[in-house]
Amino acid sequence: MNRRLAQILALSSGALILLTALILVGYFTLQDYRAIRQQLSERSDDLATAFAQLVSFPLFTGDRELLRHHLRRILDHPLVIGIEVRDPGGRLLAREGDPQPLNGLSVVRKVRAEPLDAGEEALGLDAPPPPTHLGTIRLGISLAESQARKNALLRQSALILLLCLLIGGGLAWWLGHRLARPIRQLSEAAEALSRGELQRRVTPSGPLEVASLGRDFNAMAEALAHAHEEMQREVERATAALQRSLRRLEEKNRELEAARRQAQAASDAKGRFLANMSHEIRTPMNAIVGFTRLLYKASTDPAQRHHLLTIQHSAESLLTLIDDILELAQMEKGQVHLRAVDFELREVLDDVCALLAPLAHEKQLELALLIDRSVPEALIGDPCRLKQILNNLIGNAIKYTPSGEVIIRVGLVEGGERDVMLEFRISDSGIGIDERQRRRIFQAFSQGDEAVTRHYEGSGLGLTIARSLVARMGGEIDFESQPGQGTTFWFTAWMQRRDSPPPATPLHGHEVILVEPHPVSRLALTQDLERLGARVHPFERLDEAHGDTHWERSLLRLIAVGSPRRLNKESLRQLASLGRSSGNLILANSASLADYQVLAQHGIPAPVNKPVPQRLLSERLEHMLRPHTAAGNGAEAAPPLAPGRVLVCEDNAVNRALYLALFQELGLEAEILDSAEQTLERLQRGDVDLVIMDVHMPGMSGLEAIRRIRALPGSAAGTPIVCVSADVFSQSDCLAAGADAFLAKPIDEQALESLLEQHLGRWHRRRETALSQRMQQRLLPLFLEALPQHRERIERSWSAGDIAALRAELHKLAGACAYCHLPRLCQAVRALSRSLKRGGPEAETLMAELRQAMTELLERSGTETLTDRSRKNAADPPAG
Amino acid sequence: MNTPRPGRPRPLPTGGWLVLCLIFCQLAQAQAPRHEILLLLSGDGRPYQELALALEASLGPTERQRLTIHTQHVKRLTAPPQGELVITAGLRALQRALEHPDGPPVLATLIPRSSYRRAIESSPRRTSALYIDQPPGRYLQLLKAVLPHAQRVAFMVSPQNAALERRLRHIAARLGLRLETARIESPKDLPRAIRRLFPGSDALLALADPTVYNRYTLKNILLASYRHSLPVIAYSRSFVRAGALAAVYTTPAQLGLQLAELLSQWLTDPDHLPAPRHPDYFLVEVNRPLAQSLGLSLPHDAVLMDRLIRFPAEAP
Repeated sequence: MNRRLAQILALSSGALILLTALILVGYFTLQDYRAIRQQLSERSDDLATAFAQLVSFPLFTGDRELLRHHLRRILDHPLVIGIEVRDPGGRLLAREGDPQPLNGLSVVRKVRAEPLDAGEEALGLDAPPPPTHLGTIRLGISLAESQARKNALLRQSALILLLCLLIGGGLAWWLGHRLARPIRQLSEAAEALSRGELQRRVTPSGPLEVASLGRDFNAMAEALAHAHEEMQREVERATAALQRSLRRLEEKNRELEAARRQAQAASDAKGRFLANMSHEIRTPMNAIVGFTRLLYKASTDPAQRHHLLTIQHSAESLLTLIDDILELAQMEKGQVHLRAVDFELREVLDDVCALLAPLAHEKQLELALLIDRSVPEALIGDPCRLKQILNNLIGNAIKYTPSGEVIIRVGLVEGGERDVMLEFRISDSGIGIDERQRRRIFQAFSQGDEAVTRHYEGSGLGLTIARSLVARMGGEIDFESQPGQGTTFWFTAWMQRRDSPPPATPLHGHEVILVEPHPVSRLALTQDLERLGARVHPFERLDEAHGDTHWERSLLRLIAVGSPRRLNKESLRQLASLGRSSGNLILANSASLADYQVLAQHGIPAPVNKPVPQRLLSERLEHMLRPHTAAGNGAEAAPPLAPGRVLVCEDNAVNRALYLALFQELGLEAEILDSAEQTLERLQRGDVDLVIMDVHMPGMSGLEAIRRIRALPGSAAGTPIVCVSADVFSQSDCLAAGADAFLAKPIDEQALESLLEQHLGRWHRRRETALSQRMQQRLLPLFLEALPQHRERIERSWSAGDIAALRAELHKLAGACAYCHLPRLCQAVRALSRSLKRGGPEAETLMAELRQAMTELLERSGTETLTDRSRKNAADPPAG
Repeated sequence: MNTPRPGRPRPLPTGGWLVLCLIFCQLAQAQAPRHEILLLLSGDGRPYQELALALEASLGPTERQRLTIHTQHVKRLTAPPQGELVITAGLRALQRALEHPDGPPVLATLIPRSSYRRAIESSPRRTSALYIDQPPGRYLQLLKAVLPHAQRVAFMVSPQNAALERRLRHIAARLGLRLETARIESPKDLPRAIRRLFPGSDALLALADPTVYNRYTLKNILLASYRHSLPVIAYSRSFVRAGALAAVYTTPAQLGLQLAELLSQWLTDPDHLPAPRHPDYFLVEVNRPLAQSLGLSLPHDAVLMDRLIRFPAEAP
């Protein structure tokens, strides 16, 4: 593509010359060709005319010999290659050579007599007769000669063309060379210039324009060199300045980096300090709280009790504060992970309300829980964290509301097939928050107002923590407020729906009278009752309900009152008379001992505290519907059961004493050991239903002990373990090691109780109503009846090696036996299931144990009475 | 029967004719003519012009005073020819003059005897003629003078000239010549006649006969004669120029001269036309290079003329 200029010039001028030569030579050659052809044709005509004359005489005389003689002579002509003569009739008279050659001309001519003046006119004669047609001749004309001439012409043309090409090419080359050389020099110089050889110049030469270009180029190069020097100086100056600033920047950077490291170190130190402090503070606090509680229970002096209560509350606040600080630190480090466990939403809400209701009732506040019907009951999520948020928000609401109400509303925002978004709204009628405070409200260590802070104590971390948790649940948190009117905090959270059987409706078909003065609570109770299947007739006042036709018809009557202390004498009398009737249930906002004392003085039975947990409501009402069993008092209800055996592993002597006191209080038998090794030893002897293991132990650590327990042979490996530590951060490690639950120090009495309930179902039963005992009594024979089938299916799956089917069967059996409280069987089943899951080699032994357990159970069921069996089961002796 | 008059002047040069013509015209206008004569020409060709001029020039002073000659071309003739006498030159002028059964007497000239005969065959008019062709004996005299040893004479003739052939044969016999004749009805008959007559003949006698001798046949006949080394005695000057050995002929000017003499004779007795006759004046032309190539030694033209004048050709 990029030809050189010389090439272009040479090519174009050469082509021009060649073209001109071609046109000229072509034109003249064509002319000559035409001339040759013309000549040939003229010569042929002339020859034909001449020969026609020649043969006209022999034709005239009919002399064939003469004719042939003539023809032979004609054939001697170089142009003629053939001739034939025919008479006027077309008959061939003579032929020589080829008169119609393929490669030649053929000329035909008529032969007539040649006119010759005979002087007729001078004789005054008649016009002569027309000339006689003597015949025709056909001449074959050779093209050889004209061809030769043409060839010669071609050679000549080619020669001329070649000459033109040579001359043109030479001329073009010379021209291109003369023009291109100075231009090439210029181009090379320009290239050198671009490489930076600024001193490069050219010698102006060649045609005028090119020489002028060369001179201009030199001038330009001069200017460029000058500009370049100028620029160089500028750049050097700028570079020097830049280097100075770079050095300064680097110094700054180094300083900044050092500062950052210091800050990081300080932050880390803070974190370590916090963790250490929590541990160091928690352990003594544990002792303070625990012993204060024991002292409180033991003391009878009211003044002392009051002081103890104060100590306990202060200690608890201190712990809460520490917990909050720790939690926040953890969250800031991003170490909080939400769990995904099955839970019942209603239970979570009931728990929170139960916890906070006394606070609210203390301040004479109405606390109501409204759950929309669309909200699913069974969910998967982190109930603990949800509880934490709710506790915080509801606690705040109660805290900042001097009078009125706190209402919790739960609704469904988005309900998918699986994922649901729930909205929780906590409205109060409190002091409200103004716009100024709004911005700071979710920030750490800030509270609504300094004055308010002084009035309502608190760490100010609750909302910050709640906001972080809500964000982790994929929701939002915000509030709407009118200062002086009240505040509504709301938050949303994503949960997962869980399949669950439809809730039981034990009150189906029953009519229930409800009397509740507070409208929101009335609505909440109505909904609760309707959920249980009852037809509800709500009334605001008791006298209204009394007058209603349904009063007498209804078997159940719920009469709710506010704070018992605020009731007048008339109301109290009325309640007393109603309370004695078996179909009536009194609900009250009883917060303190004073309330109970007021009621007791008027002979009113202990009321149910509002807001009523759903399960409690259901059980109480169901119980009331069976007057024959309810007639007897609680002492007769259940035979005392042997408590479960609990193994506590704790090295701290104070805490050991505390555990001992706690278990005595709960009426449980507990063995307390001070090392992990002892615990392992004891476990191998069997007959242990639960292990409580402290993580921080001298010698073998608690975590190591847990791992070893899980590796034990036989059913001991399946023993439930509760891990205890003051270090809340170690929870995940404990669970990973194989613990079933985690309990933070200081030990919360209620939390311990619920854990024990969860893992030692039979112990819990001692406090249960007679109902569940009866249920169990009814279920056990059914289970025993079905057991052989279970055994058969298990055996079949075992021999077939179908692990999946075997595990499914074991799962069913585990559920059934837990419900019927057959711990030995339960343990055997669980151990086998776990072993199958791991694929361990001890499955054979465990299967044998399971077989034995089942056989023993079936053997005994055949000889003992139902009640005896139940009792015996509870004291199920260890197999080993 | 006319006798040729020896010592008659030869034709004048053209310039001389013009001068004479002017003089005669002025003289003629001076005295009123008593006889009106129409000279009707067949064409514009040179022979007719020559004839007309020669006639004018040859009239004597007396004839000029008594004659008025109107010359007209036959193509330009609109009315029937008028006058006391119509002189026609050529065959067409004669035929045109004879178209009307009544009219002045006609004197035809510049026409061969055979053509004249055929033209007047059915006409009731008074006619006479001065022929262009020679009396047949004059041709044979020439033949005898040029080829003294010739005995067999080839002769080709069309049926129209049958009479001529008879006359010729008669004269030839008298001169000791044997006339070998071939009848030619069309040019196609020529090759056969040539093949038959030419070998063994001593000479070819060619007389004016357009069927046999015309511009298209002339060359081949001459060529054939060369091939047989046959000398040709012909009837015109152009024939000799084309290749004949010798010819005897009369020029239009000579005819004009003789016509003037005939008019002079007619003026003496205008009621009688002179009888038709062959020309008295003639010329001889010889192709000497040809004679040389044939190995003949011919006498001088004057000697030949003298012989033809001295031996009368024949009776009319």
